[in-house]
Amino acid sequence: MQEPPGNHAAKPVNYAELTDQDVVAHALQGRESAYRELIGRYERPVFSVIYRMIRDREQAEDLAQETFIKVFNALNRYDPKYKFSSWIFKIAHNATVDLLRKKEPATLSLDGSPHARTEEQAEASSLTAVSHDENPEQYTSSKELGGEIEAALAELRPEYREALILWHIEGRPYDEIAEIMDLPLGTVKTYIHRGRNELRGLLEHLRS
Amino acid sequence: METRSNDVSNSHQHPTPERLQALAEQSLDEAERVSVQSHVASCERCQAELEEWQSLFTMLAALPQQAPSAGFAQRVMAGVVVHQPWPVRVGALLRRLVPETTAGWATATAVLALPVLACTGLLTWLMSQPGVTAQGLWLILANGVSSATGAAGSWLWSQWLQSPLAAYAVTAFHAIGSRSGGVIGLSLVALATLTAGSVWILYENLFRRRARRTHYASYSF
Repeated sequence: MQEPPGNHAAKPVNYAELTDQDVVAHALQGRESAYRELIGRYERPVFSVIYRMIRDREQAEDLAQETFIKVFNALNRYDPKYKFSSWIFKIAHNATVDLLRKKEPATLSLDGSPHARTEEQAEASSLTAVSHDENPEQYTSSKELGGEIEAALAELRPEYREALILWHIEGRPYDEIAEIMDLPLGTVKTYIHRGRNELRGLLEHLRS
Repeated sequence: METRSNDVSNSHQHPTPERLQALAEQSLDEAERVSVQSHVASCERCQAELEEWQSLFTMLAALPQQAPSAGFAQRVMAGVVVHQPWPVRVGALLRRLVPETTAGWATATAVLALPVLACTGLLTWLMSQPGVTAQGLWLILANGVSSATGAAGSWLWSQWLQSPLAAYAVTAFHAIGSRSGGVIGLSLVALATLTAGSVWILYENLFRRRARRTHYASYSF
């Protein structure tokens, strides 16, 4: 797709200085670059949450893609009074919950997609637990630690897991998590508190 | 016996795990923070628990965000209809209505010329009938429009009849009626030629495009 003709196509916009609401306003004027800016801002957070919830790269990509398409095609119904992040995470949440309801628990795996047929496919679809900007020893030890935490997270109930991911990994405030998960604020706090307690129990063996 | 409490003003009472977690994530208000911190400073057990929570939170925060595979943005945009505000949509629609090709111009001309030709032909035929006058035709037309459009149309039509433009229109009808058959005939022939030419060019472009490709340029008006 190309930018539509018109004066605004000729003027580049510095999106870095704009809020999400401003970028959405540009997108509603028909600027494709604004849509790409929103993808740039949210592809990792949205994909990360979905991937950590369903543990299948292929399906997570499909769901993340579906989320963005749904959001963008309904962009004219977006109310700028609300956070764009809440809206997109809420749609991702709904898609994830729908899939998890259909999906059998046995398919939740850290070791890659249950649909992988070869080792390469499994490796490509496995969840990377650490960033790669570390030296080899740090990388190995933090990969192990990260793997332990990811494995423990995977064992939590989905609602605890999602609340913890949104709070601790994505840095979303409590009220936004309540909006995303469509729960009262008190329930979100309870989920996070219980999730932490369970997580601490699951990581007990690391304490020594 | 040691107890846990939300109220840590009594330094013998340990803060609840929720309070310690809130301290670790720095979400306590100032008064609570000072109170819990003062207890923790003097309690090894709570200190150890606080450190444990802080360590867990640090580990969670250090987990990296995952990235979708390359080409994700392209795949998303392939399924998106980029929103266009209504002035842009109207502009695009109008641009689409302006013919860009010879065939387009031929179609537009034929579409516009055919009704003009038909009306002129009908009018000429009516005027050539014995006893038909321009004034009479005008009244029939006025009554027809008036009854077809109802009260609102009737009011509008009466306003129009009282306007100077209506007087000019009647004069024009008289002028057409008084012209010789030769002038009207010539006008009809010219219109018919224009229409036939448009239809022919349209046919050439739509149905014989491949065979007559090299002739396009000479068809433009």
